[in-house]
Amino acid sequence: MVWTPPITWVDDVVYDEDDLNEQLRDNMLIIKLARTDAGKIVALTSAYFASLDGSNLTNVAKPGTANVFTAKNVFSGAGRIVLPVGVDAGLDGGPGSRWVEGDYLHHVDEGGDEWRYLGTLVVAGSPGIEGSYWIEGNDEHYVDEDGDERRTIGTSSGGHNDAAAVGGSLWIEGDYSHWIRQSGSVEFIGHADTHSDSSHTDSHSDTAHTDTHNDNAHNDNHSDVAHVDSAHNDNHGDHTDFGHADSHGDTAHSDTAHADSHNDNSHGDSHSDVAHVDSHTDAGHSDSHGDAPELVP
Amino acid sequence: MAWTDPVTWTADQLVKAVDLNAQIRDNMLVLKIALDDDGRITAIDATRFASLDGSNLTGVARLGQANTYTAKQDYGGAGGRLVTPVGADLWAT
Repeated sequence: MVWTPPITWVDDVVYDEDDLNEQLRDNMLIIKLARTDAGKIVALTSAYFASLDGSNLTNVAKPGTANVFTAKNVFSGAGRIVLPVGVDAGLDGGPGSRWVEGDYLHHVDEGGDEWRYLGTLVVAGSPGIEGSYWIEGNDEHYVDEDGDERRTIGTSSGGHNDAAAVGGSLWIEGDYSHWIRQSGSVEFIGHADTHSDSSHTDSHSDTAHTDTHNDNAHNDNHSDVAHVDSAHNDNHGDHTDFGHADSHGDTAHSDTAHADSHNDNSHGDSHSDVAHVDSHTDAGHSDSHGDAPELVP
Repeated sequence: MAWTDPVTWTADQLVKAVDLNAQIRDNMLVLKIALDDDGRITAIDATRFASLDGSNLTGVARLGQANTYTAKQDYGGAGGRLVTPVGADLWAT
């Protein structure tokens, strides 16, 4: 049974049964093939459709290049995910919703609260589409609203290790984002690991000290003791071998008393070290990295 | 060529060629448009379907609001959303 193009009927022609079977019966059966007796299309199968290619359909999900819809939607390989971008762009998506807002990666937690992570800058001016989102290594990566690639880190501490876990799996658990690292098996948790190094102040103050010494004034006094040479008289008696008389008289003399006296001037060597205070203060600093999500009011 | 509603034939009616052409030839051609010669619908396209809206289909992935599945799955734009699973250990295995 095949389709025969309908003929143009003309008056005054006697059509026999062959004509009617071909033009009416067979052609009607062909037209009826894909329809039920009630006139509806029987099924979307190759028995009734020469092609089942649905690429022309609208309002259905059609995989882009290399994106694969499987039991678990897999966007790996050449697949890509682009998140909504903008202020509260995904807020109305409810728990599990994610989006990029400014520099931040936002999500709505299991309880409906909005959180955001500020990813560490990876590449400024990334060529990636704003909102692009993927798992790379152990981290979540995304392209922010300015086109910069950023990453948020997680911790495997407290996460499960399941050999069958597929890399790139992504979900919200409790308050935080959870994922399976690129190579699979290990769960990472976008954690509340906020650490702030306490600011510290290194301060030491040298005790002020004053070096003072005073040389005591001293007086060196010495006095030469005056001495007096006692006058002496040399007397002798001439002998009288010859009568002559030698007479002389030694002049008495007196050593003049003298007094050597010197006085060291008192002196006052005095120096005073200027008191000083060594004081340095390390500026307090807070090492705060933004691994931790912030609860968005 | 356009569809002509089928007439109700009456007794003693003289059926003319023009009647048969309208009722049989032309209407069959209309009914045949979407079909190939073995009776199957040729393709799911605008030539054969007045609407390609698949929103009533079941068992297929359908878009929520403005999500666009392109070469890069785009959940952006007005109303686009990506909502990931919520709960404990929801990894794929």
